[in-house]
Amino acid sequence: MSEWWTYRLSDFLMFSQRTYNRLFERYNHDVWPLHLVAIAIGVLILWLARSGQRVAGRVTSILLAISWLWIAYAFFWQRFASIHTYAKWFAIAFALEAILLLALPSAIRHPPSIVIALILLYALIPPRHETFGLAPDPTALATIVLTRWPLRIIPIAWCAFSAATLLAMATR
Amino acid sequence: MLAVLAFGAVRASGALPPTGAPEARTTPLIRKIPSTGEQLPVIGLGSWITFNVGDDVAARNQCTEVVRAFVSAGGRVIDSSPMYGSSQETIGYALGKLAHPNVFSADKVWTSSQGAGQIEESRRHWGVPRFDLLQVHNLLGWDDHLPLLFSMKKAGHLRYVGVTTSHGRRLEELEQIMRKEPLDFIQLTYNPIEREPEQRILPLAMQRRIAVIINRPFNQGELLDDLASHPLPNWARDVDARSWAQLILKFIITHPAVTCVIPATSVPSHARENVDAARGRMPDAAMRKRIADTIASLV
Ligand SMILES: NC(=O)c1ccc[n+]([C@@H]2O[C@H](COP(=O)([O-])OP(=O)(O)OC[C@H]3O[C@@H](n4cnc5c(N)ncnc54)[C@H](OP(=O)(O)O)[C@@H]3O)[C@@H](O)[C@H]2O)c1
Repeated sequence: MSEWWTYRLSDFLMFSQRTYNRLFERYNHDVWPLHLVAIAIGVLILWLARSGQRVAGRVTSILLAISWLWIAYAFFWQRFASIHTYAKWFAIAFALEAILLLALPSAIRHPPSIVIALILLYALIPPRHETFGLAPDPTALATIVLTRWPLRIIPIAWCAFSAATLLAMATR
Repeated sequence: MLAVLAFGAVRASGALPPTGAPEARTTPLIRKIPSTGEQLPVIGLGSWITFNVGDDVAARNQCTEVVRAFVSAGGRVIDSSPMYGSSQETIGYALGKLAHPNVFSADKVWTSSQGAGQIEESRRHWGVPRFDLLQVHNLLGWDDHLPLLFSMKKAGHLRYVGVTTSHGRRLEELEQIMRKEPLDFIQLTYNPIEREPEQRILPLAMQRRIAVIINRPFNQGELLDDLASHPLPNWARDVDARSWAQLILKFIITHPAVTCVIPATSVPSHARENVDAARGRMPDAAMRKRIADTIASLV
């Protein structure tokens, strides 16, 4: 496209910050108290990473896969799709990551627990209170630190998209 | 040259006030669609971002209040697109709640294939029997879509046909289409700091008798953000502008080629303020220049 240089980040943003915040507010309200389950899963992953047990990698990959599948359906397919034209593609990408996690359990690694703990604290940040296991950003971040290539490709791509969205909203 | 001639012709025809003391308008300014003579209020309503609120009932009700304020102030043209997420559904929701006021429905086709299917889905979202205007969004696949739109118009399933662009993109291609196709409308960006259309497109629209819708009057709000820290000049009162938004809208709607401008808003009082820009005294050519020069020097 010859006019590509005339496009700016904000030209691709199709909703307002208020609408994005409301989406999370309503999602958090709808799925409560699943947050407690999600945080429990996060704590379990943290414990597994420290324990060094043989099954730790397998269990972590299953727990992460459940989270990715849940987000594909409950967040992207059911909710984000109402404000974003391409949300269903994100849902498919998230489901694909779940399959990859199940297929490649050996790609799990064990980062320092403090990193996972910090990602669990993401849920405390207002106004969206994005919770690991339920919201895409903290789940993708956790997956980046808990896995090796090629399992990091989709989470990194999502984080890049999300960072661009947040930046576009902040600079509008 | 074309631009100068066009301005002269319109002033002579009375569409612009003569230079000197501007007259006050108590009723909102209206313009005729050149291809039929149908009259439209010059201030319309856009829906990009502001109406993409998903299925959030509270937010949809807020948008309904925007439409209510817009319609009760005298506005009619509402613009949307299948590219705007849930905006079409939000408009349909608002129109339903307001017992289907007499709006002029302007939507778009935005796909590289399957135009008819997309148009039917859009129509269902709006809940209207047919669209008043369908435009090829961003000229995407215009050579495929225009024959479909013209055939719909011929069959009585559509009243007007147009194409859109924005941000000053693809103006040469737009010009070629305007010369070749029997368009009723074009839509493009024009405001005090984006004036390139004055050179060729706007004069050509007058020559070819094509109605013009102006999008992005505030550059998606950025222009107003940049002006927010500057006080409105005292001389804005001479054209009854109470805000930068009104001054900009008055600048736009007094270009003789402009049929309608479609600011988007999520705030009911802004919708009223925007429609009110079509009332009161209007800038003459000298005042238009002053508005453009002042705004260009501030942003
Ligand atoms: N290619 C295309 O076909 C194309 C491209 C771009 C746009 N469009 C159409 O043109 C419409 C208008 O363009 P746009 O939405 O990009 O931008 P715009 O109308 O230039 O600006 C919209 C922004 O201006 C603010 N605003 C509106 N009235 C105001 C007032 N009286 N006082 C203070 N702030 C005010 C709104 O904020 P608040 O919500 O706070 O009022 C909103 O954020 C679109 O909605 C769309 O329908 C078409």
